[in-house]
Amino acid sequence: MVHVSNNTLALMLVAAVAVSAFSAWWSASNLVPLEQGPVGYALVDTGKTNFSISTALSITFENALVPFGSGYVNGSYTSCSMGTNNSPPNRSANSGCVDFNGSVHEANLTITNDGNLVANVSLNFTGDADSFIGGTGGLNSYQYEVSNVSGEASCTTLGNGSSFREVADYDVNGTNARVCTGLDYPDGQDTIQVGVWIQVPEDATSGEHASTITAIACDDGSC
Amino acid sequence: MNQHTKKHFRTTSSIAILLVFALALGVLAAKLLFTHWYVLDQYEIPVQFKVVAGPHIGFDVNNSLLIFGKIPQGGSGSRSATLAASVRATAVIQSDVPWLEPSVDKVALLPHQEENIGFTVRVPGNATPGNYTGSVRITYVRRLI
Repeated sequence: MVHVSNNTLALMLVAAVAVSAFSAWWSASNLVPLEQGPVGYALVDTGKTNFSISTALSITFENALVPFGSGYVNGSYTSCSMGTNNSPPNRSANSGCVDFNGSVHEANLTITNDGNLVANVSLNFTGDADSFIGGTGGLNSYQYEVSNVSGEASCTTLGNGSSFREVADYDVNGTNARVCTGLDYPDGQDTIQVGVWIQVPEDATSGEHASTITAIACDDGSC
Repeated sequence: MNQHTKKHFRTTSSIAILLVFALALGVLAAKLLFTHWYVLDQYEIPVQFKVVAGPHIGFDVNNSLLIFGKIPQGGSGSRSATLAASVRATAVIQSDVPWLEPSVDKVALLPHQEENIGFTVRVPGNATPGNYTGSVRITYVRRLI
């Protein structure tokens, strides 16, 4: 009978355990990426996953894109007004404004549907006239207007009827105002424009005032 | 202590050490088995957006890709996505797209429970206008047990 020493037995045992441990690890590492759960794992029926992108997309216009600049209110006026469009209702652009950027009216914000799906568009503002401009209520104003670009019939229904309206509670605090239903996508009829107009009272707080306008588009009623 | 007792003592010690060693290896093997993560599934989603100068934005609400449309310099674009798995898993989000920030780097998923994550592109004010592309990789991993 062949006698095996204790040391040999110990080495064989260690080797067996090591091989066993490595095999367990190797097996676990090389399971085929799963459409189903691991074989023999009774608690799992399937391993299906899902990833879906929402159709809603929001893009922001930062304040710098409507560069009203810095200035002050002419002492003989109680306020000054200016905008990206020089035809707000019952106002003359830049009356009473000193040193502000008088040419911002040349740059309306524009929104284009670049895709191949008809989209709805909503706007959201980070604040209304009181929080954005400040000063005496009633003398301050923050208005916007959404319209089709001249010569284009881009939007089936304009939410505000293509007239200036005051930014109000329903346009801020996360509540969006639908400004266009059915923005088409073919070139030449895929663009709407946003006019912005502000009135700064003489007692408005000095310092930088900023507002971010967010446009949200979707192909359903979620925006 | 006589020779026989000494020999018996050495044998007992060797067996004890061997058992401890074997136990340690077993624990290590169990740990490897129980904590090992492996890939359930993986999605590679192309991302594209265009940086433009001036007060102009462009939308594309197609949801087959992560398209952010036209974003003005200094502006930002956001989309969201829904993740789900039929088993308990963790989704790991990686991106090679400039200025793209996922709302989370990884999210734990309970079986059949959906989780929304956001993707935001924040374009610096001095970004060069042009097309930017890349991809987002969603890797679903789970523990073996």
